[in-house]
Amino acid sequence: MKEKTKECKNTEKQGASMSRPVQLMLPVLILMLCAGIAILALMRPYEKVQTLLNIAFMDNMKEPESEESGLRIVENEIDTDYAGETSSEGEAVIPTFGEQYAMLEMESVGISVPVYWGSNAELLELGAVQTTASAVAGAGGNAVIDAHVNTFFRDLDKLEVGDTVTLYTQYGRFTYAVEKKIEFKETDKQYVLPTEEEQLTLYTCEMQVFGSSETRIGAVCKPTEMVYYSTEVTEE
Amino acid sequence: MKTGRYMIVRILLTVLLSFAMVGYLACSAVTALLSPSVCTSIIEDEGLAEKVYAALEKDFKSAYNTTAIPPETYMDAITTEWLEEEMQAHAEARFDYMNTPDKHEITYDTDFTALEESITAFFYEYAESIDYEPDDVFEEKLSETIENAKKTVLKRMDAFYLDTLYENGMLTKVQRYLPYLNGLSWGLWGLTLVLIVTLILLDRSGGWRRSYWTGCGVFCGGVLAAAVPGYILMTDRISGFAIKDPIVYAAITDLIEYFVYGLLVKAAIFAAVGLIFIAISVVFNKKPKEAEK
Repeated sequence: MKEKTKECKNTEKQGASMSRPVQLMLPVLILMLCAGIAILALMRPYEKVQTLLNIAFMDNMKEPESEESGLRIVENEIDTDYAGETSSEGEAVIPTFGEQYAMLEMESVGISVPVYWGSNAELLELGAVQTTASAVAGAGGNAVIDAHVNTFFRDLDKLEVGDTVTLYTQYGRFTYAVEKKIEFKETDKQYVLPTEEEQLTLYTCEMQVFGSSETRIGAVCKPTEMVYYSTEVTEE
Repeated sequence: MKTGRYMIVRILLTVLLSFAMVGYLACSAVTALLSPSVCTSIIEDEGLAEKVYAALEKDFKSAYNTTAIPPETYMDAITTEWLEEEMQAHAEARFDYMNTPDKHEITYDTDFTALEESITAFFYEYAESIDYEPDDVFEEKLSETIENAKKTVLKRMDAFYLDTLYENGMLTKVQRYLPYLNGLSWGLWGLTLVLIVTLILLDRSGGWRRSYWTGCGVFCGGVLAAAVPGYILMTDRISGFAIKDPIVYAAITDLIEYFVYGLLVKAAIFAAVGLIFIAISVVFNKKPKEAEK
């Protein structure tokens, strides 16, 4: 009986005293086993949260391009005296968000302002903005442009029916005439909705001292001349 | 035959020890994250109050275009010191709510007295300058402006989105499950200790050689727990955080970094301890002469 116990202890000791290479390899093998179990166990839960993680940590937005936000503002020099070849038909170019794509001129009220594609507070500090939900000028549809009443569109309310409004873009010059002056509530979307025919809608806030203004004022303009440039003339 | 069986039992216990350790490390990292001191130190270290001040200045300047209320009306009543104090108190109140199981609501209110006084003074001065007799419309606009200003300030101050989480019931869920998380953390720690003791007792080789299997388990647990944070840091996933608002970006990425670094450091320590145990046991490993014969 005693011999059997002794033999048993020796067997245990033999097991405990493995050779050094085995002792060194074993932790790596156990680690691989654990990693395999972990991968198998986490595969399904990871698939479920993968989309959320990809949205929360988007690779294409890794570096904030502007100091203040992820917005990339591009200033373009737009030629308002284009003298090259033109045609009455052409293609409109959709700019990137934050890109200056046009110069808006309303000589009758002395407004000349750069127009940025996209609408947010940062761009509104720089000029007029065109919401990306609207059509670019010359593409056939409702081009909706707005700006602050205290800055660039201070005199928009002075615009009269029949006044000329010109939009110089990188790909063409589009001239409009004011068809009607408009006034609508902030929540009323009738003038900013897409249209089938080409038109330009300009608006700004109504000046209000005591609290925010809920009323918007502006003008709807219809095209009188559409000129597309044969070659792109913009410089960055 | 018996040796093989012993070996399998040890390997299984070692695997179990590794996962118990991973669980414990993950739980303790999450628990550490739920301490208000993390957020308050991020507010201080990242200078979030200055960022909030700049953002508010921009907000009120932008609002001037539609409200005609000069931004100074608001900004004269706000200082970075006040913002920092209130941001910290704001975060602490929300963490206090999460960490107190029987608390039913957040009891802290930000002190807006100076802001209210400044807006009120502007309204009365303006009304006087245009000979406007304050009426119901005036009072309504005044209280509306004060409320809007409070909302703007609170929204900017809430860099960690704690109010949004509270409104969506997330903080209440955390409050409900936090005691279980603490229990789980302690349970896993206890299991880790039990497994370590069992592995030591199972090994009859004696002396320092007994630390081999414990070392294997601790090493594997440490490496496994370090794998995910290590991958996150190596691939720089945190900087890809989608919300690019400077305040939220700084606050949230810092919070994630704190969690990831905390987990990585703890896991690396455990892996190193495991490695030391293995090294010691390998160094002291000499085959018994009898067995060799």
